[in-house]
Amino acid sequence: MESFAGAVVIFAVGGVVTLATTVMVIQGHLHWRGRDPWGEG
Amino acid sequence: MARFRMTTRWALTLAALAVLLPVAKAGEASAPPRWLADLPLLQVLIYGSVAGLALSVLILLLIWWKEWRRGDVW
Amino acid sequence: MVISPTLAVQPFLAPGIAWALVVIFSVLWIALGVSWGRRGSGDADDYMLAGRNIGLALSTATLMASWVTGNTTLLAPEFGYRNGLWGMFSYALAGLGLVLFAPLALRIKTLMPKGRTSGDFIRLRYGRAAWWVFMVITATYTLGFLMTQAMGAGILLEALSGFDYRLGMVVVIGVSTIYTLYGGMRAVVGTDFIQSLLIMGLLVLVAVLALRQFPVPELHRALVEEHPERLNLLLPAGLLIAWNSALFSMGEVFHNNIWWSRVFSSRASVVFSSFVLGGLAWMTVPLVTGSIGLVALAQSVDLPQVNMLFPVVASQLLGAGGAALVFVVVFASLTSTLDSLLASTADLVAEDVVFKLLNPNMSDAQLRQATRLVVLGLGLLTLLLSWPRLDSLASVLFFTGALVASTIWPVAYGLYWPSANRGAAIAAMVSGSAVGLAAYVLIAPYCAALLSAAVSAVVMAVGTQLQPERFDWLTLKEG
Repeated sequence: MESFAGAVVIFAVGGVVTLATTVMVIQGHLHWRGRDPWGEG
Repeated sequence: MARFRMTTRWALTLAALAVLLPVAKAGEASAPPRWLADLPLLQVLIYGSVAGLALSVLILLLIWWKEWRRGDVW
Repeated sequence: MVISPTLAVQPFLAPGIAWALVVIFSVLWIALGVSWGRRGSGDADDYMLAGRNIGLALSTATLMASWVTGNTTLLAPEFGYRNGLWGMFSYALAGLGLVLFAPLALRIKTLMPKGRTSGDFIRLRYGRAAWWVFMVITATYTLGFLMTQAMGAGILLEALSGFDYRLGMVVVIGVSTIYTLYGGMRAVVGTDFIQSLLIMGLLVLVAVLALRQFPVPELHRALVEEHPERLNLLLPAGLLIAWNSALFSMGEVFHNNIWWSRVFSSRASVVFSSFVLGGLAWMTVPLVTGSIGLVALAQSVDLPQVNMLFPVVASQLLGAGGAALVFVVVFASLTSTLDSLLASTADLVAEDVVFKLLNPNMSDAQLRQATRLVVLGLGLLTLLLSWPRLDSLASVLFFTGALVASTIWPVAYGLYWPSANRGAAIAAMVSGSAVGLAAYVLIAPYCAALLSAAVSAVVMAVGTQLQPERFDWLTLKEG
């Protein structure tokens, strides 16, 4: 895993997971903006 | 059936080679790629973070002072 | 500029000065904590959550102070020293946990106006079975966190001032426990404000002095000549650790009651801003302390241990005064993290276990009393567990990254989507933790949080798609 190619793979996977989590949170936040917080969604 | 198996095996080997060769080559080419941060980048990073930290202290004190005057701290 | 080896081996601070500083700051924290604790209505909510009306300044500062642990001041310079720029970036990305929690904090505050703990949310949203899984994860993580801070206190005070390991530990745990016990969350938040200003202000001072003596152009030249790998933005070792702290920190912040209790304690209008501000401000701290690590490297400072880098550089630049500054920064970092851990964990145990699980008929006064007893019990338990000194514990405890990262998706998904399925949440936490632990042992520690978060995300999303639930948000309001 210490090779450059291995490091790039781990870096890319980490970036994708972090980005996916960020997108999920922002999506949820924007979805509820201006809506009834207790509503069906 | 046997012929299919042979073809699959060949295809798999070729695919594996196609993926592994460039990777192996990159590893073989002694030094992995390098990108050294230049002076302006290091300056932005270091001076920026020190200035950011100093600014945070000031902003925090300013917010506290405003809230304290309104009696809104707690 | 190479310091003599004898100076490096001896403690940096004369025992008399160290004792004077300990007495001054201990008396100050306890006096302020106790007097702030007397404010307010005196009911359980006031003790546990400081009256639920903290403003922006105190709310931001308490997040900063709790997130600046002993590690941020001592481990981050080591990251810069060993891994260069990527070490600093990676450490700073831990601030992302706080920033990303801001939108969740807003939703929590809206949905759970009477909520007290993160355990309350998991129980009401996903049921008792999920709560048990969650409690095992949070208990393991919290005990590990408490022990690393306590052992860190003993080890650091010994190195800085020659105190005996156990004496330093008893002092730091004792002081934090006493003011948390008497003042509750008000004492924690109030002292955190002063502690965070002390930490940030003194760090700026040390950094400015270090950079005046060794300006960035000189630093850059020395690094290019002697240690070019530290400046390499494509360094394999750097790319491997790049996202680890970001995911680990999201797991820590999203699940742990330290951060949930801050949400419940703060005024609704400030929760979003305080997490964004606190996270962004925090990110500058590891960059600044990491830069001090780079200065030490460029100056070829002779180090007795790499984790003593910050004290060595500070005492070189500022003599005994520098060592005293570092002592104050470290003492403030440790007490401000320990007090938060004690208060919010006591809230969790008292509310979730003693009140909701064992004795639902408890009165408000009994709950307040129970919380105080748990604070005291936790302080004693931490002392007991940290009594035998284990120097390798800090690195072993990184395995908790595998556990906490598995809670990121269940927590966030459950706050936003009524379809989030309770079975999927349990499966996500269990499978994420199992895969993360396997990755920790079989591949490498930096893969633990990453694979745990990835697996739990897929399980949570797929499980919810297959069997969507129809959760009624009002359930959270009543809890």
